[in-house]
Amino acid sequence: MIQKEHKYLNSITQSKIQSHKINKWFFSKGWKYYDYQLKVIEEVSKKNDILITSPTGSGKTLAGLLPTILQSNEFKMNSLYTVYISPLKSLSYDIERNLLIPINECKLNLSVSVRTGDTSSYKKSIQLQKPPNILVTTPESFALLMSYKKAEAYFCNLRYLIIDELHNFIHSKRGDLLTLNLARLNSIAPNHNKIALSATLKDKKTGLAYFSKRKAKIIENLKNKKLSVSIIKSDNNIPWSGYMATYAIKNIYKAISNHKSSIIFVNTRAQAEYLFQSLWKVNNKKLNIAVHHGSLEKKLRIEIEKKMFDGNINCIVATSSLELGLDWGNVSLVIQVGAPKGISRMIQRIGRSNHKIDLPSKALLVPTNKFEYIECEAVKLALIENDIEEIKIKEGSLDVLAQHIFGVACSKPFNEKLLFDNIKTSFPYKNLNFITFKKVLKFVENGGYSLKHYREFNKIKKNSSGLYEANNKKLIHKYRMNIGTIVDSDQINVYLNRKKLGKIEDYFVQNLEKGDTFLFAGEVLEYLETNMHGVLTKKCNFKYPKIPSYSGGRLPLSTKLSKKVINLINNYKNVDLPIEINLWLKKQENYSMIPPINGLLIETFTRKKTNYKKSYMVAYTFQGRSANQTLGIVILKKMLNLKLNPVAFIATDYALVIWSEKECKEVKKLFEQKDFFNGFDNWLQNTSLIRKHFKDVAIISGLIDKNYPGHIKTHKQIKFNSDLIYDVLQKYEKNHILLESSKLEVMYELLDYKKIINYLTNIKNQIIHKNLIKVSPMAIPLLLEFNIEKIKDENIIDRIEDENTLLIEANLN
Amino acid sequence: MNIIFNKNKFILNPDGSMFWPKESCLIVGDLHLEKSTSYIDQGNFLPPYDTLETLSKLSNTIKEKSIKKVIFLGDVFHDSNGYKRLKLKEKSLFDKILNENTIWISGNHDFDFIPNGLNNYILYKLNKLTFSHISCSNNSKEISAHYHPKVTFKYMGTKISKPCFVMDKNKIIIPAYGSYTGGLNISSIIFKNIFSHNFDIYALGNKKVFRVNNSKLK
Repeated sequence: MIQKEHKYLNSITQSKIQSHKINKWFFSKGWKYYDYQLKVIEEVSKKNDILITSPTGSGKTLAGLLPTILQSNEFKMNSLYTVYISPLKSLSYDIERNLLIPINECKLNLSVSVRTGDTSSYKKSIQLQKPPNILVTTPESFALLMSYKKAEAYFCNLRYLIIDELHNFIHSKRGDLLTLNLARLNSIAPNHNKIALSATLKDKKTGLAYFSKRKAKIIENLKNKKLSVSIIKSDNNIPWSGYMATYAIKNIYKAISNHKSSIIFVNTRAQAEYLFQSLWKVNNKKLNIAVHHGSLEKKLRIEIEKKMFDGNINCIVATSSLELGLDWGNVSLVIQVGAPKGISRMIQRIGRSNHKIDLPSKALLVPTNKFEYIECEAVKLALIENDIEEIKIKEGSLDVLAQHIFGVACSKPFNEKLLFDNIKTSFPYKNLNFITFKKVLKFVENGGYSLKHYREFNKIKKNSSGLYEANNKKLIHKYRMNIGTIVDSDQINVYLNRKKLGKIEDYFVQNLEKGDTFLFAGEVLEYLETNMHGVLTKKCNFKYPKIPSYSGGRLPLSTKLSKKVINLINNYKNVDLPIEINLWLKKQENYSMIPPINGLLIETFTRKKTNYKKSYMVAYTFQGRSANQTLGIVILKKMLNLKLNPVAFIATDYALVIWSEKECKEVKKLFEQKDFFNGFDNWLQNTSLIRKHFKDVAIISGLIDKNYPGHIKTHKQIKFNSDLIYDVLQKYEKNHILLESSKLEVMYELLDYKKIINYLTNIKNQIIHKNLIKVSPMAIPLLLEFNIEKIKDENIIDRIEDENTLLIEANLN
Repeated sequence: MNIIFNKNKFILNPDGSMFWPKESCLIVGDLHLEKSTSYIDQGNFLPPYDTLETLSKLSNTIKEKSIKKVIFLGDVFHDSNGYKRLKLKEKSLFDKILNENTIWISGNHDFDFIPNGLNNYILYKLNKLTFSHISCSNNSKEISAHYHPKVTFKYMGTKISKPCFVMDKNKIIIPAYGSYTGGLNISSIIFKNIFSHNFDIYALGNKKVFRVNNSKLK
């Protein structure tokens, strides 16, 4: 019970809580409020925006919604007071379900409704005519509502806007879309309070500034959840390479048998499928084991989720699809297979176990190879120190801006200067300049080309009062169909007999031949053919699939963690490591050296193949995969210029491996920071990397429409090859806003430009080159990686032409 | 790349055109001019440079090879109103390419448009060869376009996808010439129905056309 004089509450708030029905109900359940929840109520009553950071399972959702519930007596029917933004559709339904319990049991005068992309159009139209008091929705559906002509009337009574899992949005295009609409909401309902919820957030001030422009408070629930984390012990050796954890399958099975219910988190869909199958093979106790990932058909997924809720599943193998807040209370163990790659992510995942805050969360880490073992040790240390990653702040994307501008025009005619000012108030766009804004505006208007081909037709047009507006109903409708910032890789439906199982990546299918077998939805499937509907398969009796799929969802190692890894290996003698790992590092130290903390170790050696020799170069940067990839691209280019005939490179989180036909004599020179990125820009323009980004940008900005491969093409849908458009634009209008935008994004997301420059500056005089006779122990796992980047595109075509010419000359063609 | 088709020598150009030295003739298809501007009413403002790009490419090839006669295998425009949308520069380029020797075969996209002063053909015959837009099972020794063939294969572990010429002893299908034209993979059943088992594939490279070994494709 709330004591008579609670230290966080003034008397008015206190009497408000005590007199509310919910209070009695709450205590009848034997619950009590946490201090921070009461603090939230108090601060909200002072009209502060609030960022709540609190561990998973500590009642954040309730804390966010309490102010709404307490005011429910004042609410009128069919008027919207609270919008709850959640990152996942499934989470939205979870919130609704949990809210309906007190609403029904206390007969609260409060209506709640969920609106996502899955909501039926019938329900949607009811929601428009008769708004619920609380609307639970996603950023996309929220943006869509904001584009309606009646958006202002719809949102004008808003009192609270709640953002769940704030950290999830901050560095993403979804976050851009959300904050742009929040900025607009501020002008529609200037008096509402914002409350954001987050479990793990390093830089809380930035987090707060991200969504709030008013006086605001950070409320931390300091009570940290106890963690109990260990690394699996297996009788088998930890493999040199690979990501499948087959060596420890019996130990994993034993762990899940000893717990009532558990989740096994993996990093990729392929791992999920493979592990699921491996577990069933040793499942002699007939446990109920299920698999859950984003590519599964919705029906299957919901079925599994339901079984979980009903307690009918002992263990579920899942990807990040189950990472966020789904509330199942009774999970007693979380197993992480594969290195978690980030500390915040690990905390999020571990939080799934023993969802109640008073019980410790139990987690078991399963490294899949030797490097990962060290990474797991590093994570363990970081968790003890609660040392989480900072948020990488991203400038607002221009394609999302284009989408937003048209959305605003759909809702209400706008003045460009006022809209610009409003956009600048959203955090990701605070540095936007008017010239760039104008370019994006021109793009939305009629493509923004210097040739005035589209002058006679405009998507948005200035009306007689000088305001921009969208009048074409067909285009407005199309906009609403395509809203959002998530561009899936092209995916194709998978059918077993006639049953739809889910979706699989287009490029994976293109590499399949009739008779190939692969894992999907927990089954080994045999590929039959691809037709208009999708991929047709049949069940097959093979135990092991012929074609594994390792792509998709490979997570990059965070910088913080990579530093911890290198510190750990330098200190390996003082850490309690398994004998085999210890021996591996010791052998490395004796034969070559342990990669130093402040410096760069580069090993070179050659390996003879049957009829040719390969020269290898391994640079142990520990800078994460994307930084190493950038480095690889640049070094490869330098080696091409030096005519060393580089063949390919591998970028892992820890190191970069390049091999070439000729040996490089002056290795250190390759890594000289001076002029490092010279000519890089030009070269970048032709890589598949930037083309991939251009495609996303072209779709999000509305230049081209989404593709639905494997579907019958409809008349309305235009299928365009974005590569062809890219080439033409690159040739005729180099400064087009979409090219600029894609370049910025490649720089930000994949290439870690600055990171590499800083790194090379720091290690300038500390490059150590070891010219070895043979491969070093530490290089072995790296050479076994399958994520090889071959020399690409143009060079390859030239080689094919050469080969063809030679064959013709020799009369062999 | 030189090929022999029904005792005639042809040169396959990496821009997607086919040169017939004996007749000083260039064969091109599926230019799909003004494809970009045909989507305005859908709200897709595609970069309006495709026509200029395609026509410049064609003019250069005509100049380089001293072409006397061009056979257009249909779908020169993306739609029948395409010609009306040409801007001055593109229009003058286009008009210069046409002359009294030009053979204009109608395509399915631009069926209602015929340039002033030209006849339009459904079928055109020259030197015992038949030219048409879409391949037809009744025709033999036929050169056609329409399907925009492209080939996908792996080389040194990298997936390559390029427009291509497809041919056997009886038929040739040429790739699309336009800069915004996508393609139909030659693994499609459509090509299996048109060609015999042993058809040859010649893909467009950067500077040359190269042969792709058909047996290595799925």
